[in-house]
Amino acid sequence: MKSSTLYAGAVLACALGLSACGGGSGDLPLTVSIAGGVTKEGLTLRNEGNGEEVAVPAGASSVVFKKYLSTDDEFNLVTKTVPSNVESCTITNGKARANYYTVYTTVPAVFCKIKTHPLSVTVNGLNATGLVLVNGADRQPVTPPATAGAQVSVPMAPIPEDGPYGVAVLSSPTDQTCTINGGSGTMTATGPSTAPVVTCGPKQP
Amino acid sequence: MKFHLARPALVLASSLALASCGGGGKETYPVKVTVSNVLYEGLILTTNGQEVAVPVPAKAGDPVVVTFPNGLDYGTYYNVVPKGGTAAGGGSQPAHQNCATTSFPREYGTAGQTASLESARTPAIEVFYSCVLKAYPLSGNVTGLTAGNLTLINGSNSQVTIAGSTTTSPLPFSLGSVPFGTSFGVTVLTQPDGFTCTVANGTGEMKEDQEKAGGVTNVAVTCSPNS
Repeated sequence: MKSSTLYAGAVLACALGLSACGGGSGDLPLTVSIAGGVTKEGLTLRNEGNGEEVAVPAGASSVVFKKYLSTDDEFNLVTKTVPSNVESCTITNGKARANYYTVYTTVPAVFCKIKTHPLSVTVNGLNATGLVLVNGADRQPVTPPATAGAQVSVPMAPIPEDGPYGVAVLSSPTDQTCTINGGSGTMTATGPSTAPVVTCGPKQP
Repeated sequence: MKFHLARPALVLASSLALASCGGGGKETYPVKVTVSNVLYEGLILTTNGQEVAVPVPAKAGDPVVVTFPNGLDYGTYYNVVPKGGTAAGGGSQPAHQNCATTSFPREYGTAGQTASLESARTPAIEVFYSCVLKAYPLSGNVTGLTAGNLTLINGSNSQVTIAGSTTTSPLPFSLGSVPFGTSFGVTVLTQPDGFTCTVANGTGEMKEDQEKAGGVTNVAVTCSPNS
C-alpha cells in the first residue's frame, strides 16, 4: 500500500516536473540533513554532479541546494571544507541518481566528528588513596604517588574542542582535604583555557 | 523496489513453512525477545499468560535473548510487554532502568502473520526491547545574583546560564538530568560581571539515596558582589 502510494507520488511528481519546467531543470530539491557536530561556520558541501556548493550555517538541522535536480540527474556530495573544530565528516546516502525515493526518503545526511583534546589535572600533596576527580559524568580515581606528596598528573577523558569542562573534587582521602583551582574552562584548539591544579593538605574541619 | 521484493519473499516463506509441516504435527511459533543493555536484575516480560525473567548478561553490553516457554498457535495474538507495564516501559523493570520498544517489528502481532528477520527460515516471532538507565534531575537555587549572567556547568555534560534579577531571589536553575550511577560536579564556567559565585552541594553521584529522593535538587550557589 505504502509502496504503491509512493510510486504514484513519484509518477505525479515527474509529470508535474516535466510540465512545469518544459523538460529543463527538475523539481527535486536536494536536501541534506545535518545529523550533528556542526557547531560553527565552515562546513561547505559540494555536489560533484553539477558543481554547486552550499555553506552550512552553525547549528542548522538541514540545508537545501538551490539548483533543483531532474529525475536521473546524478548527485554526489562531498565536503569541500569543514569547520575548524571538526576532525572529519561522513556523508550517508550522498551519491545516487535523483528520484522521489533518493531525494525524499533516503535523504542524504552529514555527521561531523568534533576534534577532542586531552585534559590533565596536576595534583600536589596527595599522600593516600581516596581522591576522586569528576568532570561531570567522567569519574577518575587518583592513585597516590610512590613518594607521598609528590606531584602527579591525572588524565581526564578528552574534551571536545570549544566545549566546556569543569573538574570538581568528588572525594578526598580520609585524612586530607583537597581543593581545586582553575577547574573550569573551555577547550581551545591549543589546549585547555585553564590549568587545573588540585592541592591536598591536612584535613580541614 | 525494496517493498516489491518483500512481499513475494513473505509469500514464499509462508508457503515453505506450510510445506515443512506436511500437514503433520501442529506448528507453533516460539516468541523470542532480544533485550539490549540490561544492566540490573528485575525485568519480567509477559505475553499470552506466560512470563519470562530477563537475566543480566555475563558480559555487560551484550544483548540477552529469551524465549517464552510455550510457542503460539498460528493466528494467536501476542503482545510482549513488561509485567504490569506497557511497550513504553513501566511495570516490572530492571532496577534503575527502563526498557521500552518503539521500532519494528512491533511487540504485538499475530503468530504466523508477522514478518520477522528469521521468518524466511524459521517461524519465530521476534520482538526487540532496549533498556536505558533512568536519569534524575540536577537542580538548585542561586542567591545574591542581582545583575549579570552566571554560567554553571556539570562538567562537559550540560550547561545553564542564569540572568541576575533585582526582583527575584532565589533564582532556580536546572542542569541536564544525570543517569543512575553517574557522577556529577557543578562548577562555575563564567562568573557574572561584578560578582563572585561559589557552589555548595554540587558534587556527588546519582546513587540509591539520590534516586529515592528523586534526584539532587539542593545545589546551592551563593553570589556576592566583588569588593
